[in-house]
Amino acid sequence: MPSAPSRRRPAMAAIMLSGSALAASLVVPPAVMAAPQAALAQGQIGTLQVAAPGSRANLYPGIESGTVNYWIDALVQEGLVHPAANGTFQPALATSWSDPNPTTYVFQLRKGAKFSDGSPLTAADVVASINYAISAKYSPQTSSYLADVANASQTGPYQVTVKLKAPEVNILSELSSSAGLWVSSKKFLAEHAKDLGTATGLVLGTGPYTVTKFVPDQGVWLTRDDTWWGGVPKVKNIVVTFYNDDAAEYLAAKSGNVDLALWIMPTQEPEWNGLSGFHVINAEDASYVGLIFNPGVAPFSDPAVRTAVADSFDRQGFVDHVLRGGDSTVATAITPPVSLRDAWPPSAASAKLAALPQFSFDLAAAKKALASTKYAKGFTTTLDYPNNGPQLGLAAQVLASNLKQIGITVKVSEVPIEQWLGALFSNKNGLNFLWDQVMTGDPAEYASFLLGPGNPSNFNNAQVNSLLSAENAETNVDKRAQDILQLNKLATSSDVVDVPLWWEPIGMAFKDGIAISDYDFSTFYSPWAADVYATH
Amino acid sequence: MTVDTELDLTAPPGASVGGAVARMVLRRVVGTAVMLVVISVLVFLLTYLSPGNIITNITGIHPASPAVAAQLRHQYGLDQPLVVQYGRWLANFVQGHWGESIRDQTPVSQLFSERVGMTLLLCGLAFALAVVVAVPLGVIAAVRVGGLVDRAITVTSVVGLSAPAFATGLLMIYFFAYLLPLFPPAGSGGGVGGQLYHLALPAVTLAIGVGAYIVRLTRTAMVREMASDYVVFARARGVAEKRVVRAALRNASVPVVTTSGLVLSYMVGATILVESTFSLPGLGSLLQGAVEFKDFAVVQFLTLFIASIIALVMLGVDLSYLVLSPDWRRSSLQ
Repeated sequence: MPSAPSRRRPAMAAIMLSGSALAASLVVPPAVMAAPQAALAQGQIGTLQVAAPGSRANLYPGIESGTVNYWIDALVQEGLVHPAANGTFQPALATSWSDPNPTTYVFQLRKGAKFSDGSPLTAADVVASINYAISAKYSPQTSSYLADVANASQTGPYQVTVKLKAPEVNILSELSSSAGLWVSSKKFLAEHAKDLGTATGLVLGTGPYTVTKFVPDQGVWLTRDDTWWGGVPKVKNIVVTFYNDDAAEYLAAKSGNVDLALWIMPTQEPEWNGLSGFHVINAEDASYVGLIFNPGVAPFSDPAVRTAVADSFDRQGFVDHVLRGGDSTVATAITPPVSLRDAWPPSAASAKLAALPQFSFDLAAAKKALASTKYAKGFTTTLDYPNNGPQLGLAAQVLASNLKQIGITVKVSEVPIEQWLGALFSNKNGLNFLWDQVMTGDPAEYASFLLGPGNPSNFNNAQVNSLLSAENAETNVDKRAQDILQLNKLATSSDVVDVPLWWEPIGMAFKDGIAISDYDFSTFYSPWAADVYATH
Repeated sequence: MTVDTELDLTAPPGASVGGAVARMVLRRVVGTAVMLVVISVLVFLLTYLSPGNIITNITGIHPASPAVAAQLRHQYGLDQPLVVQYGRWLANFVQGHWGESIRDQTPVSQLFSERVGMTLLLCGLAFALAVVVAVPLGVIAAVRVGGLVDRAITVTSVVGLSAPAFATGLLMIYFFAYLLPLFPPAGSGGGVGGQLYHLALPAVTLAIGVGAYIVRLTRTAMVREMASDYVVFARARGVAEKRVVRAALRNASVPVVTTSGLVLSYMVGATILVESTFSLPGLGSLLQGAVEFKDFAVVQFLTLFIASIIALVMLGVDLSYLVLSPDWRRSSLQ
C-alpha cells in the first residue's frame, strides 16, 4: 500500500467532449451535492479517525501527487469542476463554462464561495491558482497536466477565461482537483510560495474542511468549515493518521483507533472483513494491474519472447486462489469496463472486452514461442514491484515460478515506490509492472497513458498513434469506444506491449455505524467526507 | 582511592593531565572531521548511484516534457558535473547553509529542528530504560550464574536480541494498545505529558533490543570479574558480598560503558523501524523517506549528524575510561 509514500496517477486521457457538447453542458445541476444533502438526515460524527497508508511529506498535490494526497487535499481545496464517475463534470468553483472556440474556455465562478480564512473567492484568486498550477517550479508533479494552457485572465467580476496553446478537449478534467488545479487565494499563494503544503505553510481552499495541523509522516488534523458553499457536512473533525506498517494500521483499527481505513488492498480485504465491527466497501474495478514490456530492451524486442511471458501467467488462477476472489476480476483489456459505461451497459462492455484476443495460460505454448527465438535456452531478467503493492509481489513470484519452467529466470525485487517509478520510465527494464487507477472515468485514460506520448513502454506505433488522435477528437460515444477497443487489441495482441492481469477495486474499510452515501472511484477526488455520516 | 589521586599518579612527567586530555580530544576532533568529509563523499556518491531517478521522483508518474525536466535539473543544480554539485554543497554546508529538501520543499534546518526533539526524546527514554533495567539484570544473572534466575534472564535477553524492532513494536501494540488498552498505538501526542504517554510503547520497543545486548554484556563481564582472584581473596577475607559485587561491577564497567556507546549505532537503525511502526515523525522516518526519494541534502545532513553523534558518544566513552580504568588512563594520556 502506498506507503510509499505514494501512489501516483496516470496521465489524463482525452475527454470526449466537443465544443458543442461542452456548450450544451453549460449548466450542470449540482448533483454532486445530492449525496451530502441526503446524508443530512443521518447522524453527526464528532471526530472521524482515518487511517491512510504510507507517509506524506507535503499536502499540496502539485508537489506530492500521491493518491492519498489527492484524497486529503480534496477535502480542503477545489478545482473548477469535479469529474463524475460517468465521465461528465459537475460544478465545483465554476458553476458553468463554455468554449467559444477550441482554444478558449470561459468559466463563470461561484458567487459566495469563501476560503476557510473567511476571504471571498475572486477571479483573481482563480487566475493566481492557475498560474501556480502551470508552473513547473511550484507544481513540479502536476504542471504537465496543464501544459497546453497558454494563460488565464480575469474577464469579469466572476469570470475567468483560459486560453490554450492548442485545442485540448481534456481541459475540464485537467482543471479539476483530481488532476492539476487546486484553487487557493492569491494572497495565500504569494505568502506561501516557499512553504505551501508543508507543516508551516499548510494549504488554504474553499472546501468543506480546513487543515489545523499537519505533521509530515504522522498525520493531518482537519476541522469543518461551516461556511462551505455545499452545506454543512456531518463530520465535524477529521484526524488522518499515516501508517507505514499495514499490521500496525490493522492493530490500531482493532484497538478502536480507526473509523475509516483508506485503500484496502485486495490481499488485505479478507482480514479487514473479518475484523469485528468493520466492513469493506469497494468501488468498481477501477484499478488496473498489468505487465508492460519495453520493446526497445532485449530480449523483449522479440514479440515471441513477449508472448511467451504473457502466456506464462495464470490470471484466473491468481484471481481465484491468491487474491481469493473478492472483487478483483481478470483483466481482459487495459481499459476497465467501468470506463466504457457511457457507451455500453457494464455487462455489454465486459463482453466486448472479453471478446478481444486473450492470452491463455499455456506453458507449452510459451515454451514453443520461446523456442522460436534466439533465446530458446532462456535468459535472466528482473521484475521490480512497489513495496506498497503486496499483491504485485505475489504475482511476480507466481510468474517467476512459471517462467522458470520454460527456462526464463526472473529476479524479483521489492523496491520503494520511487525506485519502481524511476525504473518504469528508465527504458532500462524490459519487463515491468503497471499499477494504477482510473480517476476521471474517461474511457481512454489508460490507453492514452500506456500507449500515448511518453508512455512507459517507450512504444511508438503509427496505427496506434492515429487511433489515439482519432478517439481524442471523436464525439460519437460508440465510435470512440470502438476505437478504444481497437487500441486495446493492438496493445495486447498485435504488438504485445501490455499484458492485462487483473482489475482490482478501490476498497475502503468502514467501522460499523459509519457510512458513505455515495461511493465510486471518483468519490474520493471530491469533498468525500461530506458524504460520510453516522448510521445511528 | 580517588580519581584525582590516580590522575596525578599517571600523568606523564612534565605534562598536566588537563593538557593531555585536551590533546587527546583535539586528536579525536580532527580525526572526526576527516571522517565526516569521507562520509559525505561516500554518501554523495551512493545517493547518486542508488537506483531511481530524482527527476521522476519530482515529477511523479506523469512524464515530464524534456523542457520541464531540464528546468528542474537546472533548478536543483543537477545539470552540473558531480564534482561541482558536491563542491557547491560542501561550500554551503560549512557556511551553515544545509540546503533544501527536494521532497518536502522545506529547508533541511527546518525539517531537522521539527523532528530532532522527537528522536532524541525517544532514544533518550529508550536508552535510560535499557540501562536502568539491563545493568541490574546482568549483575543479578552473574551473581546467580547457572541458577534459575540466570537462565531466565539469559533466555529473555536472547529473545530480546533476536526480535526485530518492528516485530516487537507490533507485539507491544497488540498487548498494550489492544488487549490492555493502556497506550495509544500510533502518533506522538502533544505537550510533555502527551509525548511521554505516546512514546511509552516505542521507547520500550527500542529499549528491548538495546537492553538485551547490555544484559548479555554486563553478565559476561561480571561473571569474569566474579571469578577473578581478587574476588576470591576478598571473600576469603570476609569482605561483605555487597562490597565484593560493587568492586567487581566497577571493574566490569569498562566493557559495559563501551557497549552502551556502541548501541547508539543500533538505535539509529532501530529508530527508523520503530518510528515507522508507530507513525512517529522523527529523524528515522525522515531519513527513510529521504533515502527512497534520493533527497540528497537531507540524506547528507542526517548521515553526518548521526556520524557526529556517534563520534561524540565514543569520545565521551573514551573520556569515561579515564575515570573508570587506571590502565586506560595511563595508556591514553601517555
